[in-house]
Amino acid sequence: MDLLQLIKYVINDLLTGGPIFQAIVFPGLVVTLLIAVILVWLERKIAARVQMRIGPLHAGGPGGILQPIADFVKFATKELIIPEYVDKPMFVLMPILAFILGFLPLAFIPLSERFVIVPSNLSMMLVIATAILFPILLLLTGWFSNSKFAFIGGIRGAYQQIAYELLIWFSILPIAILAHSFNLIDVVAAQAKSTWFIIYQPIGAFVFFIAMLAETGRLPYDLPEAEQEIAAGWYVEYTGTFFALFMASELYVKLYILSLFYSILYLGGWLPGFGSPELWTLFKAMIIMFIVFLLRAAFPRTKIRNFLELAWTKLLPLTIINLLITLIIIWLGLGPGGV
Amino acid sequence: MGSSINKKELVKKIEQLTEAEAIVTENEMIVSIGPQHSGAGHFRIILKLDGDIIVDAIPDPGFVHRSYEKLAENMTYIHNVPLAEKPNHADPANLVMGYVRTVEELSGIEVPERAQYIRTIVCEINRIMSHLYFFGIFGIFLNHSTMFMWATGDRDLFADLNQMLTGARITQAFFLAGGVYRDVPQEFKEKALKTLDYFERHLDDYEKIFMENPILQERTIGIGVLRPEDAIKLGVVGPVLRGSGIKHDVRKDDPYAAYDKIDFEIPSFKEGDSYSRVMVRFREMQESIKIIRQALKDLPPGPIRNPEGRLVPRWPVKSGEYYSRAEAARGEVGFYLVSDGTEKPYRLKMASPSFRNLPAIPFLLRGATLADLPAIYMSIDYWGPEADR
Amino acid sequence: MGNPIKTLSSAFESIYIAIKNMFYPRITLKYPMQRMTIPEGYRGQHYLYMDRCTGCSICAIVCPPRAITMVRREPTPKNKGGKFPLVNYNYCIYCGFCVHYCPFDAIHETNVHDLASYTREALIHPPEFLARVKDDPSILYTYTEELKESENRWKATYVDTVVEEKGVAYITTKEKSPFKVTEGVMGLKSWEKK
Repeated sequence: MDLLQLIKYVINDLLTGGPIFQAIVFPGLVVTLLIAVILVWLERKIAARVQMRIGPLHAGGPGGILQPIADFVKFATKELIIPEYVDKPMFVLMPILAFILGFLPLAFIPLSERFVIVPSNLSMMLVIATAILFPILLLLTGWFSNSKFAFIGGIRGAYQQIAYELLIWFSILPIAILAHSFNLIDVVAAQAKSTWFIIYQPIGAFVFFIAMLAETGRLPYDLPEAEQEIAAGWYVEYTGTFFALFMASELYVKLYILSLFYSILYLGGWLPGFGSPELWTLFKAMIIMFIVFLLRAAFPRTKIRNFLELAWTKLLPLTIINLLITLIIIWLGLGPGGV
Repeated sequence: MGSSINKKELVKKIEQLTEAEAIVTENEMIVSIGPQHSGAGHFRIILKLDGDIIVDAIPDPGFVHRSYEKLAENMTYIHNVPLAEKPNHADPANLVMGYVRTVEELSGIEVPERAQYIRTIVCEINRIMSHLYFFGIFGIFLNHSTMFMWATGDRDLFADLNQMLTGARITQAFFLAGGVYRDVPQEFKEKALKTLDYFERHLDDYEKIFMENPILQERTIGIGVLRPEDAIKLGVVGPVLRGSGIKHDVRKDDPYAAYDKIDFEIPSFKEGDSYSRVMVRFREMQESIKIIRQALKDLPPGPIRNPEGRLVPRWPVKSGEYYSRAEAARGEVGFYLVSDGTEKPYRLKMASPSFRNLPAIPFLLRGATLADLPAIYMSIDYWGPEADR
Repeated sequence: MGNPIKTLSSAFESIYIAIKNMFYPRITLKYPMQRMTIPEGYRGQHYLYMDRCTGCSICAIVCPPRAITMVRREPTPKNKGGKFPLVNYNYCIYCGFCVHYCPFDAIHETNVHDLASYTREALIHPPEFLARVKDDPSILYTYTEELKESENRWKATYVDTVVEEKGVAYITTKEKSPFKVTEGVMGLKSWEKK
């Protein structure tokens, strides 16, 4: 079609809530960025409350609500330093790729039955498949920074994220068995028939939660950015806007995406049928993120050796036990039945 | 990973600095945990890393040397009291205690009882402040920011107590040869008891969130084990020594300032790892609370200076050599004073506890992994300005 | 990791303590809208009683960094030589030795602690500057023009700390701002108590 028809199509789409509107505004870019901004503020206030102090107070209105915007303006006005002995195109490409890849799994997660950007029958697998590109990016960033500390951080990050991606996949496999399909909308429908899946699989929910902490680089598992030993690890050479892109994509956007995933898989998604279903999903995701922020204030950081031991020798057998329990439940006929 | 030009230059520089043969094989990397690093104090350690394991560690102190001992030869004995407390501003009263004890031996002045109890109170408040600072820094090195905030917040309450008693919050310069400068004010006892009650309750919270935290325990138990015979051979002092099972404390072996009249215990643990060194300091804080409560209860009436009356700007001296010591928060500090009868000392040497603990750092770091570096290095509690003087 | 049940239970106890501490009072003071009242006996800037000083120079002898020098002024009945102390606040360490050792009780310490200036010479205070206020020594504050403006805008309150069972509480004192601005010696504006 020619240009005029294309423009008419786009405007029609934006006004009626078609895929382009969903990709850009809700639940795509704009709303996610807004939520990321609120999350930065919320994390600092919660951590401050536990630590007997007041968090941001003066920036913007009451309670420092515009503090993340102030931080972003500060990052944007800093000088972009590119070291001399690096491969310049690749060095600059890495944060941009990280930002794009951080948003990619959002295309497949439904916020309610109406609001899914790319509906597909394999959405559970697609979310994991797009999230697995991130560890490779970590390793490449550490390598292309051409510095010892970044290299150590990159290697640690690669070890950690590959081990825990596997654990995520193993712990959500029984859900696909219980719901008889890989489509996330069917998963929520199966939960509507019986109870929330967290009651069927407490072990799986626990393992997934720990893996979620490891994937997003949150305390107690923020090893790739161990400040005190290796001075901010894998993104030590990046300043200004690059740093802001990394922080936003890894720490906040990924956390938001994985919390949404968690709330759909285990906590019933948009289930209580009354009210607005999108807000129910967001509310449950907020509860998970609140718990993650609280854990940040209560625990120190682990060591890489204990951490990998935990993943391979203790959590992997737990996921297999989880699978066996689920199979037994289905054989006994207590499952939610067919869809 | 750095071109080979940088490595050769760096090897040459290390050989110049340390006069040691720096043999670096192909697999090893040289990393400097230097003074400008978010993970070290005013102190530089040069590490040879093979993957994640530390093959060798070369310490490089001297970044903050301020020639304290030479300065002390140009000033009289009174002037040296504020100088003695400047190397370590976390617990200055214990350093001044060592110096004043030496000068009292030199001039033969006796200290009245009330002054001794007041000195004990000030010394123990400073010990609590120093250990709280240690807990804050130890927490933040393992990235436990809550511990840092709570410790520095509670330290403020003890600075308020210091201010009420002596007039200054951190560096007090409160002792003189023969007593103390000011008397205890009326409101001090009530405020001190309220602060101590609140702090004791808060220490239980510290224990649950920090000491019995499973992640902290797996990071510090069994790491950096120092056996008792190695500890004696290296000559370490303070909580490092007591964490290896040897009960040695100047307050019990060579008592000064009312410690022989107060009932307290010395904690020690026999495992010798990082966790026991941290627990020694924790239990010492609880013992200090008991000491302050007893001293406040038993405070005898009487003069606070000897001779009572006006203060004279020159302290009487005779010539000779004198040595005396006190128990600072990081270990035993010793002052060696050579006097030739004039009003300025001929030589004043301060043997600081951090410098005595320095050989333990490369000894314990060899063979450990890079991830253990904060747990080992901070548990020794090395204070750079105190060691460099 | 040892016993898994013990590990999990101590992990949950840590989280419980973190949540419990969310409800304790906060120790941060919203400076400069809330300021601490500095009590009596704090070792700050000095105040000189010109009619008690005899010029014996003990304060200059006993000062550790040698911040006090004696300068000549008009002789008074008590002070035949006319020597008065001049304090150089670039070097003063606020140890209080000059106060303790003065045999005539002529030099006191006030609770002024925030001396700031644009030049080094402005921190050398001659004896007239040390004897600014005749009646009550514990009230002198010097500050810049912007701080005075912001004071009026934010309405600073003065607080006192109280240690309770659960933490630190701040109580505000009765007077809102006990100072008024006057023109002082050497062009510096200063506050005086109302």
